[in-house]
Amino acid sequence: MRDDIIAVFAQVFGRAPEQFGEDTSPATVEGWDSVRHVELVVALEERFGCMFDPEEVPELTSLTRIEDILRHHG
Amino acid sequence: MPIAALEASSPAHVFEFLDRHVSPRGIAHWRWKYQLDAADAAPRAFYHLQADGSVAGFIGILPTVLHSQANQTRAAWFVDWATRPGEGAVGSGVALLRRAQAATDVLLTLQGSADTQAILPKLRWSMVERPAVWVLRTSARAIAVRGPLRERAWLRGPALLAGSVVARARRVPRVAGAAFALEEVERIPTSYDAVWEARRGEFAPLMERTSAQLDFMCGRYPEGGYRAFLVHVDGAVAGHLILRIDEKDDLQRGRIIDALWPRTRAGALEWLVREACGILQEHGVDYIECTASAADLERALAGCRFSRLRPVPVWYHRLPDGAAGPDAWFLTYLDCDRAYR
Repeated sequence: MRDDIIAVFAQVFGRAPEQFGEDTSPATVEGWDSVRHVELVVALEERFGCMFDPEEVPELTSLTRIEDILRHHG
Repeated sequence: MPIAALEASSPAHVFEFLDRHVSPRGIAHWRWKYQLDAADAAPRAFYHLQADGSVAGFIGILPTVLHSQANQTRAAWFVDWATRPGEGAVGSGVALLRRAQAATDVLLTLQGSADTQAILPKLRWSMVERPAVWVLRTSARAIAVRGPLRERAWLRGPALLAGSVVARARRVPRVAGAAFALEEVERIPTSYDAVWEARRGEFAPLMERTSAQLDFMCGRYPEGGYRAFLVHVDGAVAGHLILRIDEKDDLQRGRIIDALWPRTRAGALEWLVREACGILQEHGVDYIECTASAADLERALAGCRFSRLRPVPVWYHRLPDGAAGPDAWFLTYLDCDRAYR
């Protein structure tokens, strides 16, 4: 799952997968603003076939947290 | 980090967030706009709290009903969508938008900021640009201060002279209509609801125009300024007209906010537009604006020398089955006046 999440990040932010890791967050990734976050949310939902709850959307700010939430969606 | 519904008892810093990040209107405005003192408890606004208790974002909704033939669908305009700047609020906007979507069947918005216009297409929202603001400049000053004349002081004198000639030529004359009359009222009476029910089918789908809704949006607006009229045709109430006069950029702006009229009655709309212009001109407005989305209203405005100024994009996240497309929606300033948005 982690590799798939990183692939989504690479696609949304237009960077190499190696640039995303445990410290990935809006504070460490240049260009991670509200508009880019929308792209990330939509891309994750399309890739994993789920729909995030409203309260989950702002939580999608690290690879670990995204993994947790996606597991919750099964 | 919870999303909470706005209530009269919400913490003061939520209202402070609105004053700072949406518009400095004050708590009385927000209590009116989201009907926080109303008996029904339907939430009309939501805010997103962060772990430290601060407000990360806000969204409001103005409920309405989309009518399509025999069907009715819950709909709502979303307004006052704002997030706190900075990385800490990333995602709050989309979270709140989804919370608003969950509160209704069809979520809509008009115009939208640059951010809104960037975000909504990414969420697969659709947009049409059928409605537009129409304008008629009615004073020499309004005609003369446009464009490069603002920067060239020496041109102002001749421009004002030329403007006064143009303004006289553009003056909309009122026309005698023995069958038609306007009655100014403090409040739209509840008896008007029967007229609205009869008239709605001619304009569907559109924002609710019940007496309660019109009274809320125009009669009880905290800053006032709206004038309401009943339209009489052959001695019976057959529609309404809402006007507003305010100041913008040192010019007095008159607006035809909203109207309903018997759509099949020949000459009724042309008479109504001329009456509205006549009232606003007598008040000395520098220009008159009207938001229109219907061909008959556009023709009546063009007939009074109004020109199409700018589109008012309508955004929607989905449409119910069988609903008419937004190209057919009847929209006016009642839907997009800044006072409400």
